[in-house]
Amino acid sequence: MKKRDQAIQYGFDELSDDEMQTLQARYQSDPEFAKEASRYRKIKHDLASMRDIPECQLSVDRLRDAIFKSEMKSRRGSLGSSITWAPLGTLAFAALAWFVIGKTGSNEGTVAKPTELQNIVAKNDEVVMPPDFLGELPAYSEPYHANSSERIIEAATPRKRRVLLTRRFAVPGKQVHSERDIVALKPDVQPHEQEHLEPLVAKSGPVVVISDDQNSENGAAKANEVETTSHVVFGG
Amino acid sequence: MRVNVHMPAGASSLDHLLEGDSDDALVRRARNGDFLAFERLFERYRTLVYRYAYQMAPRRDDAEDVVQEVFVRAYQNLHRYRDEAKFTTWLLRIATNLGTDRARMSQRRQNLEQQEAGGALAWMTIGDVDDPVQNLEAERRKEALRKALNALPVHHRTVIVLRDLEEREYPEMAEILGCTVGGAKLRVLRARRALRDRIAPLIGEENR
Repeated sequence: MKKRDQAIQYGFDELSDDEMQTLQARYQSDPEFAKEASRYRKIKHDLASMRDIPECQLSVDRLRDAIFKSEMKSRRGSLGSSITWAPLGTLAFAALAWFVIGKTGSNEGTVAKPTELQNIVAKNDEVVMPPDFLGELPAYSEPYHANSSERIIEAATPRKRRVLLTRRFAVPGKQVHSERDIVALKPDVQPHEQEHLEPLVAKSGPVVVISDDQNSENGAAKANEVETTSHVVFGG
Repeated sequence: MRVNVHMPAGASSLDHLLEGDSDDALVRRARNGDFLAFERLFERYRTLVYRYAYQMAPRRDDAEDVVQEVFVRAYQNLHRYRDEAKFTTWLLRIATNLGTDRARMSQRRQNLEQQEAGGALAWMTIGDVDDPVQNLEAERRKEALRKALNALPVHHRTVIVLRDLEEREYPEMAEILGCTVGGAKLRVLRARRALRDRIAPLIGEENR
């Protein structure tokens, strides 16, 4: 051990009695060692005096509060991790549900009631349709089951119906105004499709057509009752 | 917070009091949800941990924060405490791990403050030692010692505080520091050397 380290051990009282006596005997005539050892002894003493410190103000209440908060935080943390995964689970479930319902909806559509088409209220509203609103619609087939696209046509306002029907039975340059026009415009309408459309036209009930012309006698708008909508053009 | 006091079945109240006074018994009760038992441990060792924390980072608020954090962690990890170690050793081990980072931060902040204030704040960070009867020379030496101690690297300061301020035995220090007894002795020796080197210019002595 170096002389300096021995002085440290001596000054800090880290030696056994035997070791102390040995060192004292060795360095008895070495004032430098005694001085250095004395410096370490002072340091030891001063360090001991530094034990006096201000009183701890930390209360039990503060500790209890801190523990409570940390517990809450750790619980929130574990709950937070499950919340992080929750949206993914929900999305997966929603995707599955959408797939199953979508499948069911396309295969088990409700049977269309042709007479309901007659009950469509003539509302002259403007409808802006995106070009691929319906995409490719399937052809009619027997027995007739309305799929979702067809149900849209049934429920549509007159103007929207014209757009939809024109798309479905598209003939360049021609426009469909009613179900009857489809038969006329579409030369390749299949017999079963015509069979389906004819009853719709035949069963159309009487309607009152109110025109913009005024009656010269009383100034009211002219109204004409027609037996069927087959010759009536809806729209503004 | 719900507080339960558990009385072991078949134990007399005197037995319970005697048995309940030991650290291990309090720890066992605290593990079973008896917060009152943990509060007793806190009251018993709050000062010990605070003193240690204060010597590592000599600011009251910092030291109190460390004490709070030590006991919060102790409570959260009571199930990890093994009875073969003393509870205080375990606490000081937590405090050492926690206090090292705190001490580094505190040291940086203190240096910055003293730099900014041109040393005018130095006396404030020495501590609240209120001892007017001590002579000026002793006071000056102590002040220099505090500065030197604070300027030491944290690993040196830790062992000085444990050995020379807290007066921990080497075997316990070894447990706290996670090293052998011989390793702990060597660390203390090196730390004292470093302290001596730091303090010498502050009190006008030459380094040897």
